[in-house]
Amino acid sequence: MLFINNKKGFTLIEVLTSMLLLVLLTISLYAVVVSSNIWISKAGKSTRAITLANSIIEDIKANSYNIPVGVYNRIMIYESIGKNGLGLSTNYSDEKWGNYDISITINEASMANTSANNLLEVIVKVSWEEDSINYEEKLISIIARR
Amino acid sequence: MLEKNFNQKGFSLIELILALGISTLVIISLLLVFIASLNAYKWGSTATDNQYMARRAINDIEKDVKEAKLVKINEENDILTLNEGKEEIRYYTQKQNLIRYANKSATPIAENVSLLLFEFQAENDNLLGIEIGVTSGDGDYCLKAQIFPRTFKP
Repeated sequence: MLFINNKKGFTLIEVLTSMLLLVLLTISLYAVVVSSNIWISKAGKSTRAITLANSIIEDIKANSYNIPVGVYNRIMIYESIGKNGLGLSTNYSDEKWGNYDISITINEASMANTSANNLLEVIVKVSWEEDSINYEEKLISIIARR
Repeated sequence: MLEKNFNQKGFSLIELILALGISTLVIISLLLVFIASLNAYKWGSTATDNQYMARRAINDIEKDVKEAKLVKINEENDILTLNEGKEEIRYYTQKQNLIRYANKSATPIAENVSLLLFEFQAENDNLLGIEIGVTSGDGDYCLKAQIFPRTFKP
């Protein structure tokens, strides 16, 4: 009894089942790679959105130092360019900025323990839709009225 | 009993061919899935690299521009010069590498840069627009940013 003398081998069904399991395993691994690619392209879009929001904040710092408190979309704020420090230099509808929706909210900044009363809080929201899901990135900055 | 255990009949030719056929089918389908996942992996890693390069380049340039006392662009809009004299920093591309030139030494900070464009935007030219495109393999990523240089004089 030193060697096992069972020479029966596997049946066809056993072999097929094991192959099926192998296929299932490989396909699930493939699904992991594919879903990671989806996340990579989502991350790319997020990066673009954040860069766009940052660019808008820079634009506001450069050109719009006197915006009244309120909520603006990109067209509203672009149309009022050059009027007493209110407005953006472009409407950011260029293809290279991407198809993003922009909303800009201006609030009075309430700073605790300071007497500063000429500060505005700028909230730039950039949102986009993909596969009927809405994504949004938000940047907040504080600017001074000049 | 002993003779029964040593069944030396083996497989018939038909059984063998059938088994070979089935295993070929399974192996080919496995191979296809494998090749597809390899391609997906390649796409993912080049896309990540491209995004990283563009983001890093924009971040570095942005930091330098915000600290600069003077911002200049050449006529072809592809070389950015910051400051003057000893503190001069230059950004340009060389063989698809983005180079940051400072203190008499050139450091590549991003690879595969296929597009680098600087321009002054807005009515009074007070916004610096930067456009960077990174292309490698079959991946392409473009990032556009603008910065308000803090160079204004009171």
